[in-house]
Amino acid sequence: MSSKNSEGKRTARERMAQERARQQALDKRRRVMVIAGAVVAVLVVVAIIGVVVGMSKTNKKKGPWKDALAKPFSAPANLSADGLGVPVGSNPNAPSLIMYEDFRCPICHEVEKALGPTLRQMADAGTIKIDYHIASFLDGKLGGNGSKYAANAAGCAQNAGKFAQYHDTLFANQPDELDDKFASRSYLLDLAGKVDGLRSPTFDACVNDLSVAGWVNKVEDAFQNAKIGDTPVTGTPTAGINGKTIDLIVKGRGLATPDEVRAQIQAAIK
Amino acid sequence: MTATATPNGTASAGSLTSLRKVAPWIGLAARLGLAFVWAFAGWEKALDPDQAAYAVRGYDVLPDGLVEPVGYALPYLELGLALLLVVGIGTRLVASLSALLLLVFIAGIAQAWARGLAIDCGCFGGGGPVEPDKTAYLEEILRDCGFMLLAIWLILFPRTRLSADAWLFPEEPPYLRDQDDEDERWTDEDEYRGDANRNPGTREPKGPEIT
Repeated sequence: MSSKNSEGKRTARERMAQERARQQALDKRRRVMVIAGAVVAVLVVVAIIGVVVGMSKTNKKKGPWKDALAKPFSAPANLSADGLGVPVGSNPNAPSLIMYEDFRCPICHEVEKALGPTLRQMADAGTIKIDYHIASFLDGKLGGNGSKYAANAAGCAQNAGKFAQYHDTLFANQPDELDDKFASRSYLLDLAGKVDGLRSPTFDACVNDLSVAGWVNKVEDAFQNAKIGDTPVTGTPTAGINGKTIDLIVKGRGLATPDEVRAQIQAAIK
Repeated sequence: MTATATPNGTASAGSLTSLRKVAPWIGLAARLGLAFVWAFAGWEKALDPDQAAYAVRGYDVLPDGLVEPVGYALPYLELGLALLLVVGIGTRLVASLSALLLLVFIAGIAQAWARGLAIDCGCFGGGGPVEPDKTAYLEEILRDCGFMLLAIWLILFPRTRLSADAWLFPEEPPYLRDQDDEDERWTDEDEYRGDANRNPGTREPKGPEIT
């Protein structure tokens, strides 16, 4: 408050005007607050409407995959001890190279093209066995069902004893990353026709009914928390053996050469 | 008749007066322009919520659980901003929120560019991963910066013509006020002229004043 002296200098008119100004300023502040509140409320309501509309337009809760998961759990035959990986190789006691792949992952395709034959040779020779862990996280990233459906079909091929050939066929015919062609079960069956002796009524039913959906889900869940040694697995393709990561891609250059990969594996299993 | 000097004391401050006259009109154009941008962007995205969520996912920033709510809410949020801008209510706040949202978009595009992702910004529908040679990050950022200028103008000069704000707050913001008005604002003016003979939202007298 001001001193008596200055108080006395003010005329009544000035004081009245000041009081009125104060009142008006207060009034104005109140109006500003109400309007700001209204603006924010409008935006919040509108955003909530958007979420509700979006959720109702897309029925995430339904679909063949959800239906398949509701059925009793079923996994392919002859899996690795952990019940996740599909082992490929002539020597069951060889150290296993864990290979994380997603059928919709373009770099996995590149790696399979460039390094797949080398790895398969080592598996055939009995130096290693390859333990394929088929992830399906790209459906979540890209939208769609192709990763899951293709993984299921590969599991069906494992039941028929032809996982390795079908796995290679799927990668060789991988659609563009944005094209969810693997979500078409008839396309998956067409590709199975390229593997001698794979198509059968049992196989076709397994693909169409998504019979090993539960296993695909389990492998994907395990992939999300997977580690090689102490290093978390953050994506596909990732390979590791004896707790050591195998660099399939050399930073700043591109794919590793077959010789580099062979040398890394041999160093890791020594 | 003898020629008399104009009684208008502000005639000397010519450029200031013209700014005072023009600013609310520029503001109107900026407000409607920004409203059109939000309306168009929101509309294109609201037609396909899943595509909008797909575009958000492409930025690879949000955790999976948040991608869809954000993707669904964004188009409607943009439509809401457009509506508020057309009405012209809380202009400075709405312009600030617009600028904030544009900053988020620019940051999103910049991080995608810096990380070497290949996406379409999905600013006006579409979006998601594209071929690496089909990206247009620089153009997208420059375009958003252009929209940002509209928002910044409205933050600096929120008083615009034909707006709800001008109707709700007839008194003028300081940047449109005569300097020498300040002192007598609550005394003579209010008593003798009031706001009745003014256009709402401006300080221009409606006609010549007789004293």
